[in-house]
Parts: sequence; structure tokens; C-alpha cells
Amino acid sequence: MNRTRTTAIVVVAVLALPLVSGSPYVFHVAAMTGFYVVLAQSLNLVLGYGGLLSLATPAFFGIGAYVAAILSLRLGWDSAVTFPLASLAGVMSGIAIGFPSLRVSRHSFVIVTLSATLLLQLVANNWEDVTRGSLGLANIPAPRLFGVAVTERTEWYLLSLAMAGAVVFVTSLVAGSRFGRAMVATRDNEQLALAVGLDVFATRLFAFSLSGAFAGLAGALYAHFITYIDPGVFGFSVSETLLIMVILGGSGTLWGPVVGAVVFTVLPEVLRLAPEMRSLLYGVILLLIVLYRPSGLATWLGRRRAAGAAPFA
Amino acid sequence: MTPILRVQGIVKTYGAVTALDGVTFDVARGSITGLIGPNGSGKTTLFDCISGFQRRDAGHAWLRPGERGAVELTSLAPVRVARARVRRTFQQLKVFTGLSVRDNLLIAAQSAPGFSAFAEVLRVSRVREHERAMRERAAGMLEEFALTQHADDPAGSLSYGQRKLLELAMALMTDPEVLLLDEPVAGVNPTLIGALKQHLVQVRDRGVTLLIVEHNLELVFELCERIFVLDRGRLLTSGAPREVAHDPRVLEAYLGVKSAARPNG
Repeated sequence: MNRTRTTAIVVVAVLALPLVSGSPYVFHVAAMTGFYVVLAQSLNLVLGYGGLLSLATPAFFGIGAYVAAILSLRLGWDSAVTFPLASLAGVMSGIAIGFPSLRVSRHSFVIVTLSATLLLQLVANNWEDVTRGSLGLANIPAPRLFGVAVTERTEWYLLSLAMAGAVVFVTSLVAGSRFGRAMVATRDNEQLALAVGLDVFATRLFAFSLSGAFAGLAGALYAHFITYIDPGVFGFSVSETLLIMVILGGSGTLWGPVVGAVVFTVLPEVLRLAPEMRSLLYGVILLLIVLYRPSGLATWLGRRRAAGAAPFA
Repeated sequence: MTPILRVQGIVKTYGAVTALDGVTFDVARGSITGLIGPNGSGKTTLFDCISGFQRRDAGHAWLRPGERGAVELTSLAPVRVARARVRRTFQQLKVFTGLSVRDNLLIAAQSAPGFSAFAEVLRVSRVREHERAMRERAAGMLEEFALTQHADDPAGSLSYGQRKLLELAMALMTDPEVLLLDEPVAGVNPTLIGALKQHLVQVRDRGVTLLIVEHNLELVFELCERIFVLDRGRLLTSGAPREVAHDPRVLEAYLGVKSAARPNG
């Protein structure tokens, strides 16, 4: 109980920190953390619960970013419409990429998802009429939700927090459902899953599409927040960061990727205090976590939820 | 004898190797039937072909042959075969180690047709009802297989013997019509073999047809009403245990020597 209370206090303190500090810089980092929570859960669904190493998260992220940016820049649409459409674009790309890639072996899956992401980056670079190629799309306006513009840092922080909360909630619903149990089963033993009559392909395709929905939404938020995007949003470095967040946070758990997203968004900022030693220190910290918390930082919470063990009530 | 499963001229080759060479036989409804033969004779390959895990090169396997609801199993994917209520186990013991023992049973009964991922996540009332019924069934199954006290433990923490029991319980969760058991007592201690034997008889008494691949010939001769012997992909002989046990070709196939002695264990 004591531990739960301590955890609750720490969580509330962390959430309130930006509001208390009032610093634009802290708000910026806090909003980015929220986006990364959404992205990390996107990867966690496929990698953590489904056991598939997907490198397609930047593809969904980039698609979401471009859809939201183009619709608001060219057509001036309200974000109450463009955010769901960006998310839907993520779902559609999830289906489009998932259909071929989920039919091949797990190893080939990694390559196919990476190829799809790189292909989309090529398209973004060369379809200049729509994307302005490597010049990117600049001056993306502040999002308007039902006519109300989100401009203040505080508003951004709250929006990002709400989105992250919603995504964590949806993930907990999915993981605690019979579908979540099926995902863990397909991860554990594909042959047995088939033998008990589970549709492995459909289960994975659904998880992959939902992952697309999350990342597409994150992309839309990011585009409006940074106000500029270029084909770099499809970059491999996004996957790299997310893999660190999910695996070192606690893959296949609900809170692991959240902890991972917070720690690995904030850590590089803190390390700016020692600019020369920054990369070295970051590397050492990663190594220490791998050595002492190989199952992820979430084990520190002491309530690591075994994937699929969440009760279906 | 009404056949529930008909294997008809199944051929399976891997390059130059012929694993199955026109195997044909019928399995009687409600029986325990044995499928024996030395290593490499094609028993597991035949299971793979019937259950959709391998595509056969020729031949068919029918569920309820000649009846109105006949199903050609060899044209179906593994998922469809399972949903046609033909369940199989594997030579290499498989359970979902990351799920609890109870969840292993529940997942084995989850694949009711008509449920979508959305329905599962949103827990529509039909899903809830189905889950509740399956939970009750799982509780009964846990009791029957003496696994109740391990219900919430990860299946990976069970002993080998307990996993064997779980494997059988999982296969029974959805009232299968036919159970294909690949070495159900391999690597199990004699006490547990006795328990498993009892379970198998009880399962048969409930009306489930069992086709068993097993190297423990003592068990096969005691349990099975009819036995089919495979050797190098062909049906060598078949008959009641007594006939098969006294067939010199069987011993020759197993030991590679000509003898009339009864194979035993």
C-alpha cells in the first residue's frame, strides 16, 4: 500500500512539475514526453504484446504528421477532424503494410516493415507537389479543436497529457481483454495458437492497425506542435528511440513504455548540463539499466504486469 | 463401424524423400485408435497433413465422410481445422508459457466463430457470456486434471507432467469431435501415465474420437481398439491389438529383425 502511495505521489509530482515551474522549456519537454508515450505504446502493442519487431512505427507517425499538416495547411480543417483522420491514415497504413508483412516469417517482417518506412520516406522526398519534398512543410498552424486554438504551452501540455492518458487507457483495455490474451498467445507459440483455432494473422493485423492509429495520432500532434515537418519524420532514429523506450521501460507491460518514454525523453535534456560527456553518460546509463533491470525499468514499480495476466472481468 | 475420419491416399514428399506414400484408413467414431511405427515412418507428417500444418501432395482427409456435414480437412488451414472441432497436440509439448494455467484453458476455448477483435476488446455482452461459460468450464477442467491450485501460476512454471495434463485439458476445452494426440505420455513417469490413461478413456467415453501416435506400445495395445502401423510412409498393417502384436512385420519394422515375438514397450 505504502509503495502504491509513494508511486502515486511521484506520478502526481511529475505531472504537476511543468505547471509549477511555468518554464516554456519544461512545458516543451513535457509535451514531447506525452507524444513519446503515445508512440511507445504504439510499438509496445506490436513488439511487447505481439512479439513482433516492427520498424514501421515511423511510417505511421510520418503519415499521421503529413495528413494533419496538409489538411490544415491546404484546407484549413479543424483538428477535431484532422486528428481522427491522421489516426485513420495510420490504421490504413497499418493494414496496407501489415497485409504483406504479417504473412512472412518474423525475421522477414522486420525487413518488410523497415522497407515500407523507407519507401514512404522516398515518396515524401519526391512527391514535391504535395509534400514540398526535402523543403518540408513549414508554418503549420496551431491546432484548433472545435474552433478553439491550442497555442499556450499549458494548453499543449494538457492536450499531450490527455492524449497520452487516452492511449494508455485504450492499451489497458486491449491488454486486459480476450484479444490481449490472444496477442500474448500468438507471441508465445504461433503453432499452438493456430492449433487451438486462433486466427493469428487477424490478431496481429488488428494489433498492427491499432499501433498505426496511435502513431498516426502522435504524428498529427507532433506536426502542429513543432509547426514544421520534413521527410525526416520517417527516419530510422524514431524507431531507435522507441525501441530503447519500450525495451528498457518494460516491453509487454502497460506502464513500462510510459516509464521508458518519460525517462528517455527527459534524460537527454538533463544530460545537456554536461555537454561534452553527454553521449558517454547516456551510453553508460543505458548499459547500467540493461545490466540491473534487464526486464525493464517498470520492474522498479514492483508490480510488473505479466502480459496477458491482466484479469478479464 | 461409422467412420468419423477418413484418410485417403495421402502422399507427401520432401524433395526426393517420400514421407507418406498413399496412406489410407478409416477411424471409427468414438474409438481410441493407435497409429504406430518406427521413427521416420510418417506418423507426425500424417498428423500435420490432417491438421493443415502441411500441405499434402495428393489424397484427402475427411471428417464425417459420406455424411451431409462432411468436411475435407486437407483443404483447410490449421485454424479452420481446429474450428471444425479437430484438435491436435504436438510431439514437442507446447503450452503458452507466458499465460496462466487458467488462461491457457480459456484461450483454447476462445476461438468461437463470429467473434471479432472489436467485440473482444469492447467486451460485448455475447463475449462476456461466452467468457463466463468458459470460465466455469475451465474451473471444472482444472478440478478434473488436478490443476486447480496452479490455476493462476504461469504455465511455464508447471512440471513436465503437469504440462502434459494441461495440454490434454486445453485440447478438451471446446468439445472436440476428434483429438489427434502426438505422443501423449512421452517422457512422463509411470504414475502419471496411469492417470493420463484414465483421462483418455474418460475422454473417449464422452464421445470424443482419439487417434493416438505413441511409442509406448504397452499403452497402445492396452488402450486402442484398432491400430494402424506405418512404415516408411506406407500402411504396413492394421487390426486389433492382438493381431498387430503378433504380426512379425511389425517387430521387423521396429527392430529391423525377423521375429515372431510380441513387441512390448
